[in-house]
Order: sequence, then structure tokens, then C-alpha cells
Amino acid sequence: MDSARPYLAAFRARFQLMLQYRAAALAGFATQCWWGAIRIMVFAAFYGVNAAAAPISLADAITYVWLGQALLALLPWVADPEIGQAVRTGGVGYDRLRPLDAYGYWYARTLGWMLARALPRAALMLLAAGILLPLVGLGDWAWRPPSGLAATLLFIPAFVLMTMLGAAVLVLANIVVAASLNERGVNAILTPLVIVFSGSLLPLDFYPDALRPFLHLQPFAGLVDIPFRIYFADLAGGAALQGLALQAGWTLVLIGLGRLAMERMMRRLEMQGG
Amino acid sequence: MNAVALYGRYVATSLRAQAQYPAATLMLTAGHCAATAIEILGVFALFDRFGPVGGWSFGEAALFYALVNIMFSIADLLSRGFEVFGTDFVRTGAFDRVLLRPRAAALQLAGYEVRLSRLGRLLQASVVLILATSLVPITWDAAAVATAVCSPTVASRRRSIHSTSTPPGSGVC
Amino acid sequence: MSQILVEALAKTYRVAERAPGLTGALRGLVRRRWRDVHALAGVSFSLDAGELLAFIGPNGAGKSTTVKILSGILRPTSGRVEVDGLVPYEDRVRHVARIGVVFGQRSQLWWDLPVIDGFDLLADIYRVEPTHYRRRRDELVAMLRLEPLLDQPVRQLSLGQRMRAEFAAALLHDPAILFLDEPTIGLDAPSKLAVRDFVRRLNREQGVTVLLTTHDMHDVEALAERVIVIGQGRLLTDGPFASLRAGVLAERRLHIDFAGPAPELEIPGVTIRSRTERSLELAFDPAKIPAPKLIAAVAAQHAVDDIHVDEPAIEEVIARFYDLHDAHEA
Repeated sequence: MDSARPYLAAFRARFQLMLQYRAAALAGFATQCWWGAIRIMVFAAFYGVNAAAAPISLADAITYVWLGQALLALLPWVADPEIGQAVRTGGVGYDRLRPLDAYGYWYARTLGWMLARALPRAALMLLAAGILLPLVGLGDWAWRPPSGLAATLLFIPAFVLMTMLGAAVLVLANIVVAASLNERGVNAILTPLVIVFSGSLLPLDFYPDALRPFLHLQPFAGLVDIPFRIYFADLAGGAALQGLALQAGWTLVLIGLGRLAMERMMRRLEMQGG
Repeated sequence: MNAVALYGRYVATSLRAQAQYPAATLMLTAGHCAATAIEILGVFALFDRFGPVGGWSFGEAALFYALVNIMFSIADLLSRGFEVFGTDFVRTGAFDRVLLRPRAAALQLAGYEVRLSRLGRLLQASVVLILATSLVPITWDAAAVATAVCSPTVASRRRSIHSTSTPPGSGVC
Repeated sequence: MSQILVEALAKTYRVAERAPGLTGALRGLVRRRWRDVHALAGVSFSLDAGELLAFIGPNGAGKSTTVKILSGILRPTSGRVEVDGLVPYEDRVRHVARIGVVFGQRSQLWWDLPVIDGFDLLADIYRVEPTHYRRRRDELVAMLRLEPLLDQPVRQLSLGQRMRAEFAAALLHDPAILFLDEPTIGLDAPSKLAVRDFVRRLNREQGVTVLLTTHDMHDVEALAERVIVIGQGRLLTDGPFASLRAGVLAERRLHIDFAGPAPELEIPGVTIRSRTERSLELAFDPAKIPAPKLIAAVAAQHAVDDIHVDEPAIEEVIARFYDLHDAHEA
């Protein structure tokens, strides 16, 4: 366990840092509640006209929206601003001075950052959308619990994998930022890509049917679409297991790519003298 | 130099700084255009699947969207100083320097960093506007332009064929 | 009539207390405990026009807080401040038009703009009359040897060059008062000398009132006749630097190299600080036994190769002063 200490420390330090910004957290929460409400109203409007055309029920769509808001911080749609700053000030070179596996260190830090931002928000969102709404009689618009025992059990690995996949994507993006010294450029590409293809903008099945096979297989599907559909049992049994496999597979691929990229960058820094 | 002229100077300074990195600026603008385009993509997917909602067709929603986004992108272009006030000014101590200048702090913040890349959204909204105009029977006479500039809500009301009350959430996200 | 007047100045901050560790961080999310930090606890002094004052003290003593209040960017909790007849934080715009401020290591010039363009923009911001501006600018460029730098963007300049440009920028609008916050920090030796020389000329020849905060004691020695020491929010001393030195560490040091082995010396009022095989370092109080008398006394009895007299290093004097007054880093 001693060998894991530096990574745990990195995770914990980042986590604690994010907890300090209370006012920002509350403001963000209010924004997200509002945002969630608007998206639900949009869905409701469309469902009101032609519910038959929808691939999932309105209740499931609503749960999808609330889940998405609660876990938004786990979505790798913007590169870690600290990396951008470290790159600008030249602090990136200091990572080479630490007796650590650079990729592992960045991965642990990113996980800490994401989870610290996600967990408080998820807890608040659960309180507001999961508990408060049914209490005031708006149960139809609430965040529903998972659909059955199987769904609950399958959601746990799905959640873990979506977090790991998200961190892998983000670390890879951060490495590209560090290597190219261009944070804004990476964000400009990363954000629309992730938001559309993860299913964050709309559940993937809402896009034209012809695109479905591609959309279900691409790496970002495991960030939102697959785990959420497992949650309300739209993906069940064998299909759910396939989804988990897809998440795991892409996570491994992206971690592999990340490690390669990190090695190359570190070697280049060494040759250039940092 | 009076406030307006100084504001102009600030804007010119910011643009000159960005002009030193033409490739990056262009790429950022293109990126921002793509990033904002996903919004209309989502709207299109929904209309494509479900059909018109509450008397609004995709074309009409797109028109409304385009007008709102044109206004928003201009406001976004000009308000960067206030947006990053916490991170770029207070936290770094740069706000001290703002206060040490014999000018209103608001003026200095307003003139800070006019980001050309935000024109990406303006570009995208303009394209959507052209698209919408082809989908919806609307003639851009002087009156229509005037209303569009002054109030998108009013303009869209005039264009709505089935003028029932505007449904909730039809304001595109 | 003093130009700068400070009376019973106090500034207290409320800081959120944070318990260490993860549980502390989580608890801090829900309930906060507050603590009062007294950055300034009643400081009073005054400055006449044309004076050059050095402001020193350990880290966290309240120096920067005082300078920020005097420049008008911070409001005190209590007390009275007046600069040139204005209350800085109440008449901000009028007040800052009359002062110049240089922060060490932080530049007010625009990063991507050539130096000269930054100057022009500042002239517009400060509403400096064009002919007056051009004359003043050329004067400063000559004094600070900025000619070769004018066309370069600020980001391409070295720190020394940037600080020189920074001084010019702060003086373009002809302020009567100049605040310098650690202006020589990080500079190489020639640049430090150049900055000190410039500030001295500014003060002596042009009568600009200068208030300098610094940790570099050589700045103080080179420039200031008058020194104020601040410790833990209080004023510890206010007076000429020489009296500070005399009051704290009046001793001098005598280094003697002997022709033969270093002898055992017993002279009243003289302590031996260190010895090597052939040399001695003696500490003595010049008020009790003047240097020439001591040297004569030693040379009369022993063959002496070389001698020199010096004073304890300034850092030693100041550190001793902090110790005496229990003023430590906050």
C-alpha cells in the first residue's frame, strides 16, 4: 500500500481543494437545477405532441436529465485549467522531478478533481430532484431510483467505469494541452465532441436512426448514454453486459494511448531540457 | 481622452494582441462555431423525430434561435472582463492595478479582452438565420428588420402561423 | 505641512478557519468558523513632500497593507489617512491620478504590446496633455536608457528591462508621490544599482516623495535617510537609519592579520569573535574605545600584517532588531 501513497495523496489534495469553494458550488448548483428544469420542459413539450416517436419513456428521459446534471462534473468536456496554467508557467517540468509514474500521478489527480466536483453536486441534486420534488407533489418530474435490483447492481460497475473512462479521456486531453501548449484549441475540439457523442446533449437514440450503430459503439457512449440506460433498465441483461464491456474496453484503450502520449511528451521534455 | 474614446482604444489594443496569433484566433473561432452548432443540432434532432411542437416548426424555432444567439454573441463578445473578474483580476492581484488607474473600474473591465473567437457563435447564428429564412415564409422588409433588432420575441410572435400562447420550453436551450 | 498623514491606522481581516484533513474540509463546506487577523493595529506617521522613506518589517507585518491603504485600493477598519489633502479610498480617481506605484515583479504594461504603445495608452488613461507627455516620455526614456527597448513587446524583455520600463510607465503622468513595493526583487546586481540610482535622482533632483517597501537592506542603506519598521501591525521605530543601527548593534568589528601566531588578547570592552591561526576578529563599542586607540594598542604589542574595520551586516542589525522587539514573521 505504501507505493500507492503518493497517488492517494494527490487525489486527496485535489479533492480538498475543490471543497473550499463553497459559494461557487452553490451557484453552480442553482444553475444546474435551472438548466435541468428547462431541458425537462423541452422534452415534455415534444413528448406532448408525439410520444410514440420517442425511444424511451418521458419518465426515463427525465431521470436521464437529472442524472446528467448530478454527474456533470464527471464528464470530460473541458481540460483541467490547472494543467493549462502549469503549462503556461512552466510548472509541468516539475512533475519530472517527482519519483512517480507521471501518467498515474496525473490520472489520480484528475480523478480527485472530477469526483470532488461531482459528489457534493450529486448529493445536493439527489436531495432536490430525488427527494424534494416528490415531496411537493411533483413526483412525475422527479429523479427516479434505478429500475429494479438488477439495474441497481449493474449501475455500480457502470458508474465506476464511466468515471474511469472520463478520467482517461481528460488525462489524454490534458497531455495534448501540455504537449501542444494550446489549452483553448483542445477545449474547442473536445467540448462539442464529448457533449454530443456521450449522450449529454440528447440520449443517443434520439438522433436519426441511421446513425444508431455508430453512436452506440464509439468511445464516448460509455460516459453518459450507456451507464444511464443501464440505470433505468433500457439496457438490461446481455445488452447491459455488452455496454459494460464497451466501457471497459474503451477505458483500457484510452489509458494505453494516454500512457504512450505521456511517455513521448516526457521524453521530449527531457531532450529539450524542459 | 474621454471614456468612449478610451473604450475604443482598449478594444483596438485587445484586437491587436489577438491579431498577433492569427492561426490560433482562427482555429478558436472555428472551434467556437462548432461548439455552438451542437445546440441547433440537438434542436434539429428533436424536431426531426417528433415533428412540429405547439404550432412551431423547426424553421420558426431556428429563426428564433438565430436572433437570440446573434444578440447573445455580441453581448458575450463585449463582457469578458466581468466574466473573468474573479479569476483573472481579483485572484491574481490585477484588480489592484485597475484601481490604481484614474478611471472607472467598470470601463476598464468592459474594455478587457474582446475575444474574436466569440464571433464563432455569431457566424453560426447567421448561418442558421439564413437557413431559417429559407424554411419559413418571411420577407425582410424594413419593419421586420426593425422588430428583429429590437425584440426577437415580438418578431417570432408575428411569424407564428398558429398564434396560440407560446408553449413552455420552446425557448431553445 | 505633511503631504502624507497616517493616524491610528488599523485593518482587521476576517479569515475562515479550516480544520486540516478531509473531514475538516467537508465540515468547512457546511459550517464555517471565523477568525480575526489584525494586519494593522494602530500605525501613525507622517511624511513631508520630497522625503524618501523606507518601510521595512518581517513578512506579514503589515507593510503591503499600509501601502495599499495609502494608494487607495484598500479601506482601513479605522483610523485616518490623508494624502495631499485627499482621503485615498474615498476620492480614488482623483487620488490615483497624483500617485505612481511600482510593484516589483508585476508589470502594469500590456504583455503583448510594444513598450512605446503601452506608454501611449497610459498617457490616454491618465489624460496627460500630449506635448507634456512627449517631453516627459523622452526624458524618462533617456534617464532609463529605454531607447532600444521601445519597439519590443513587453513579454520579450528581461526582468531588469521590464522594471526599467515599469518605472517609466509609473512616472509618465508626473506624480508627486511614488510608492515602490519591493522594486529590486529578483534583479541582478547592475540592475539593482541602476534602480537605486534612478530613485535617488528622482527624489533629490525632482523632489518626488518616495515611499519604499523592501526586504533588501542594501536598498535601505543606499537610499533612505528615514526608516520605519513595522512588526505585527505596529510601528516599532521611526527615524534615521543610523540611529536604528546605533540603537541595536552599536559595535564595530576589527579584523587583524598578525605576522606571527594570533595572540591571546585581553582588552577591556573588547570581545574576541573568532580566531584562526594568524588572525583575530574583535568586536568593540566605538563609543567606549575608539577604533584608532584600539588599533594602536594592539599594534604596540604585536606585529600586525593587515587590519580592516567594518560594521555588522545590515541583515544582522535588522534581524537583531526584530528579535529585540519580538517581531517575527506573521
